[in-house]
Amino acid sequence: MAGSTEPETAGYPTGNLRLQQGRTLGIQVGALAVFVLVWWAGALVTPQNLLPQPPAVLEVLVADVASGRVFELIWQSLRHYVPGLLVGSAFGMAVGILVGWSRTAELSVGTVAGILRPVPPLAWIPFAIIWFGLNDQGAAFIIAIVAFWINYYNAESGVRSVDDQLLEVGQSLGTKSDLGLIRRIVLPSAMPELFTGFRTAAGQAWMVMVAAELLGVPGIGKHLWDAANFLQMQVVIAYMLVIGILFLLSDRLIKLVEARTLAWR
Amino acid sequence: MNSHSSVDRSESTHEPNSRDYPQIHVDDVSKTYQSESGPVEALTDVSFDVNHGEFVSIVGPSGSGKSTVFRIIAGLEAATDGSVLVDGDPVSEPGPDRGMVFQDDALFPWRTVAGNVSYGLEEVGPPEGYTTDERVDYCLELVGLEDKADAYPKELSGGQRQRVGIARALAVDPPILLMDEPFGSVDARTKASLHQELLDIWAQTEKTICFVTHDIEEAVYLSDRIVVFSGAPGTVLDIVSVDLARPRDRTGDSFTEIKAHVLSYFEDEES
Repeated sequence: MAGSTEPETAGYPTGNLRLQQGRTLGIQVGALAVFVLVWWAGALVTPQNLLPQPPAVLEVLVADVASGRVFELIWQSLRHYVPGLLVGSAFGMAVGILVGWSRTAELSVGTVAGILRPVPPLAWIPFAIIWFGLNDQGAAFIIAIVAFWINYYNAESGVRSVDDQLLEVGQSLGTKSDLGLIRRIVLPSAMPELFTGFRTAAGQAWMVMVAAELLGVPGIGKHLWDAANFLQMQVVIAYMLVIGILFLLSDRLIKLVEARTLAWR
Repeated sequence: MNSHSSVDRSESTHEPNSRDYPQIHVDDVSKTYQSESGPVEALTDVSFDVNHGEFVSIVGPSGSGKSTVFRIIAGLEAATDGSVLVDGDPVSEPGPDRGMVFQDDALFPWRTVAGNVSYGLEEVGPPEGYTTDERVDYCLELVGLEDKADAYPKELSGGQRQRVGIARALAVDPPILLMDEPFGSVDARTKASLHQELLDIWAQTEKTICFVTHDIEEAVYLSDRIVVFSGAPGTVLDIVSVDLARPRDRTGDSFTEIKAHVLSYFEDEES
C-alpha cells in the first residue's frame, strides 16, 4: 500500500542533500552539453540542409523570439491545444469514472470503448475535416480524442482501486447515494490516478497537435511543416525544441498543482 | 466544553424506542456464500443479544464467521436466514446509528484528522447542543488527539490512527459502536493503553459496544459478556458473563479462570 510508511526525515535540505542536488544538476547539464556537442560534430560533416548546426538553430530562435513570431505561433497552437485537452480530459474522466463505478456501464459503455479504443487517433482526421474543417475545432477534436482515452483508462482504474472499506465507512456515516459516494470518497480517492491521466494526456496532446496541424491548421506544427518544404531544417529543429520546452513547462505546471493538491499522500 | 454533559446528550439524541428491546438482537442468523465449489456455510443459527450500554465481545478462531456476523449487524451484508434487529427494527443497510471501527483504521487519507472526524457530521449534522467544530474538538479530546487535528493520517502512528477511527465513529453520536478487531495490528503496549482508553470512553459516553476479536485476553479484559464462536460454520458455543469489577487485573485468579474457560472451547475444537 502506498503511503503506509512513515518517514520522519522530511525537513530542510541538509548539507548532504544539497551536495546530492548539485550532483544531479551537474549530470543533467553535462548530458545536455554532450548531446549538443555530438549533434554539432555530426552537423559539421553533414550538409547544412540535412542537419543544421546548433548556431543556425539558435539564430532562428533568437530572431523569432525578438520578432514575437514564436509567441504568435504558440498562441495559435494553444487555441486548439487547450480546448482539445480540457474537453477530451473532462469527457474521458467522466466516462471512465462511470465505467469504473457501475457494472452496467462497464458492460455497455466499456464494451463499445473496447472496440473504439484501438482506432489510432489520426484515423479520425477525415471526420475532423468533414465535421469541423481545417480549423481550430478540427485540430481540437483530434487532440480531444487522444486526451479522452488516456483519461478514460486512468479514471477507470483509479475508481476500481478505491478501497471498499472506505466506501463502507462512508455509508455507515450517512452517505447514501451513489453520487454522494462518488463525490465524497471515489473522487478524492482516485485523484492521484486522475492527475496521472491528465498529465500523460497533456504530454501526448503536444505530439498529436503537431500531426493535426500538418493538415493546414495554423500553429507550431504547420510552421514546422512549411519550413521543411523549403528545406529550412534549422527552423524545423528550432520549433522541435520549442515543443519540447512547452512539453516540459506544461508537465512541470501540472506536477506543481498535483503536489499541492495531493499533499496528503 | 463542560456544558455538554454526556448524559444530556444520550437522552436527547438516542433515546431508544423502548427498553423492552435489546439494543442488538441477532435472531437465528445463517449465512451461506456461493462459491465455485458450491455453497459455503459461514454462519449457522446464530442468536445473541446485546443490551443497552453493554460491552459484548465476539471471540472465535479465524474463519469462524465472527467478521461475517459483524458485517451483518453493520448492514454491509444480508443474512441468508434470520434477522438482526437494532432497537426492534430490522437492519438492512449501514447507518449512522451504528458506528464502525475497522482493524486497518480505514481513515480517509486525503482528509486531516479533524476532516476525518467531521465526515459524518457533514452528512447528518452535529448532535444536539454542538456545532460541527465543537463536536470535532470534543471527540478528539475524548481520544487525546487535540494536537493532531491538522495532521494527515500518514503522519500518525498505528495507535493514533485507531484513535481517530474511534473518534470518527463517535462523532455522530451513534448509540452503538461496532468494532472489528480494532487493535489487531497495534503493538502490545499500545494495545493495553487503548484498552483503558476505550473503557474510559465507553463509561463516559454510555455506548453499546459490540467488539469482534480473536484475542481472548482482550475480550475478558474489556467485556461484560463474551459470545464464543466455533470454527466454520460459525455457531455460538457459549455466552460467558465476565462479572469482574473494573479495572481488571489481567493476572488475577478469576480473570485467568475465565480466560481458561473460554480458551477450552478452542482447544477442544482443534483436537
